[in-house]
Amino acid sequence: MSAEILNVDAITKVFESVRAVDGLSFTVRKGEIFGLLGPNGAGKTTAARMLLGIVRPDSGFIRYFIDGQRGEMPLSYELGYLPEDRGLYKDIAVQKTLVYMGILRGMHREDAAQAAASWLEKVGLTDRAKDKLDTLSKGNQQKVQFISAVLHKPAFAILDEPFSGLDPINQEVFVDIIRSLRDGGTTVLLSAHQMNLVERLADRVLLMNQGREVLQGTIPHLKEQAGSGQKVILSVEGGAEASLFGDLPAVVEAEQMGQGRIAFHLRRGESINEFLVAVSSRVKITAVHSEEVSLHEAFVQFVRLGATQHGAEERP
Amino acid sequence: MRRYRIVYEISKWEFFRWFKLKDQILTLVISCGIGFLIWGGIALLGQADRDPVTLFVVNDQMLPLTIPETSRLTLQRASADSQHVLREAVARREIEGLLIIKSEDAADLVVHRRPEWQDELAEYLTQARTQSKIQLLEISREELAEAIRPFSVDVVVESMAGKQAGTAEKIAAGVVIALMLLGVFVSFAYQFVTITGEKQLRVTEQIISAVSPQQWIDGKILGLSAFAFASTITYVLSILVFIGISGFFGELMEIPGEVTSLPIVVALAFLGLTGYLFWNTFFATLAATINDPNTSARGSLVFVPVLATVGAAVLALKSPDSVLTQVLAIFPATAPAALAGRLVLTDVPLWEVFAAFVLMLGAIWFMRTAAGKIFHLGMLMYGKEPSWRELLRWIREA
Repeated sequence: MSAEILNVDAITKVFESVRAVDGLSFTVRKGEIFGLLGPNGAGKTTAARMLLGIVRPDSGFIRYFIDGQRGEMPLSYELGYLPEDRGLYKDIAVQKTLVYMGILRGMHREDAAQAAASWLEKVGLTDRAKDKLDTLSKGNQQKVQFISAVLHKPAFAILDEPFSGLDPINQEVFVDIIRSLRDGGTTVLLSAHQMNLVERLADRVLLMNQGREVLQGTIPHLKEQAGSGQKVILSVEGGAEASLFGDLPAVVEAEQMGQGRIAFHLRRGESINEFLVAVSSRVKITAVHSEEVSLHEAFVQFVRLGATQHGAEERP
Repeated sequence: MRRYRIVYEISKWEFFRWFKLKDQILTLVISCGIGFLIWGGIALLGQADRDPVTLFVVNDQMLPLTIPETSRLTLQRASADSQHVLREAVARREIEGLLIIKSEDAADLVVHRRPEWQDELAEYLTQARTQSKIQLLEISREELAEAIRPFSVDVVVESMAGKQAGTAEKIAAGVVIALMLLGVFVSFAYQFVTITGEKQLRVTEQIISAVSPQQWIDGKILGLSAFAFASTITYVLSILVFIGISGFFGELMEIPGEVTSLPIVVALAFLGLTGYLFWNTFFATLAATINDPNTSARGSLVFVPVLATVGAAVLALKSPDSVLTQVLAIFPATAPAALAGRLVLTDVPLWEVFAAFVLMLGAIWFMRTAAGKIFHLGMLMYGKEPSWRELLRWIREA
């Protein structure tokens, strides 16, 4: 197991009457991609701002362990931050802005210029280096914004909603960029609500809702904690409705997918064989398809069922 | 050390974000053009004023006119019968004028437009009439000259304030104060554009995660103060170019020694720098509390310093030695205008200059500390503005 780079202990932040973050605790290990997931308004951005010292927690502790040094707040060049509320100087050339951002993070001008050129080449924007930012497409502006956050090769980077506003092609580009960042030695804390993308990237995940932790651990462990078993899609004769099967003990949720097609979310540990026998006693099955429940589905399922049904379990 | 390097880099960024050398050169070129246009125009008009004018005179025997050789006017006698023809010639602009003498006390001047030489002609007519009256009264020329000689009064000024300012000094003081005001306006405009723009572009959060708010606001204040100062220098150079061009056309404008003496120049430059720093600190703090400059009522607060500065400027020009002006010359918010005016218009004791600078530097230091705190919290407030109560609390905490 890798050493901790960040330890967050019961941080809370209240804005007037809203508990934006409520007793949140987690650790991030060196070299991993840690996902901070949750719906809009879950408290992810407030948590990220507290990790950066932009907002101070009302209670709780944040400790970093970078290069063997323990401290509440690392030096500026050790951190990278891509904020959710983002923007750069639109009337200034891309390269110039990137160099400035690098300097603010403690780089020397020459190093910043070299790193900016290297990153621009990596994302295919070398020929746009001297163009003003507002002449670039939104996707390319996002790339420049991302580079400005990690240009200085930080030890720890917080990326808040890096995929928002991107089309599927650019989302894939960013998935690759984040992986290469991690491979380059940067530990990444990824805050996002596109769970399918985070599921592909993150080593461990913390799911938040209404400022609190909902689930935490590796993806398989999370699905297990959420009580998610298999997802089985059946085609049945006679156009039977999903509501017919709501009483089956193995079924968490039955969802109508079309005429004669129903998706069943099974409870963890339930046997598919026994489930199929139970269904076939009611209708004739014409086709069966099973797949693993996605993180998104597990989260929705977990929130719907209510956290109270799930006891605290050891985190892997 | 890194802290100061970051402040330096931010101030450099802010300075060069707005300072464009070609714009400054363009300003100088435009001043040059305006100078040539104005002074060249004046020279051309002067040349036109010296063109000879032939004036036809009817009934000249009633009042014999004597025109000196140096005058541009030439008289040409005409008969009373030719009056009608000559009037038509004036209307057709074939001749420049017709003078019809009706008596020793009255004459008609027929012209197609009011002439530049009218006063000159009136003077010759007055002289001719005086000559005629002298002859009637039998008074000698010497006696008359003695009688109408102006009474001589030598003015000796005794004042505790020392020197008395003339028109040239007042104009120079006005220009110096105008340059100070220019710095206030430049500071206001660019701080608001920069800070509210960054808030609206959402640049804030990324920068605030990299540098401390105090470093950021320090850099902004220094960078934009330097920009305001550089802009002022460009305008000073423009004025000097304008004055230089006046010399080229033989009409060299005089600059009072009060403005060109080295100690005054140094004091004015230092006053400009500290004044711009002071106002930039104020404007940066105010701008950080504004969410949208187009809708915020707080933006009108900017008129407070502007009015204070203009008020101090007017008072300094009108009564540079009044007690109120002396107080305003020490008070940081009004010192750039009031002390600048006093330095040019009157003798200012050294302690006053020293006190003004010490108070100014102290006020800047206090304000930047409070500004750092307000800036930190205000810059991250999107969609709403902090209340006055919140602002006061932040200042206390700072």
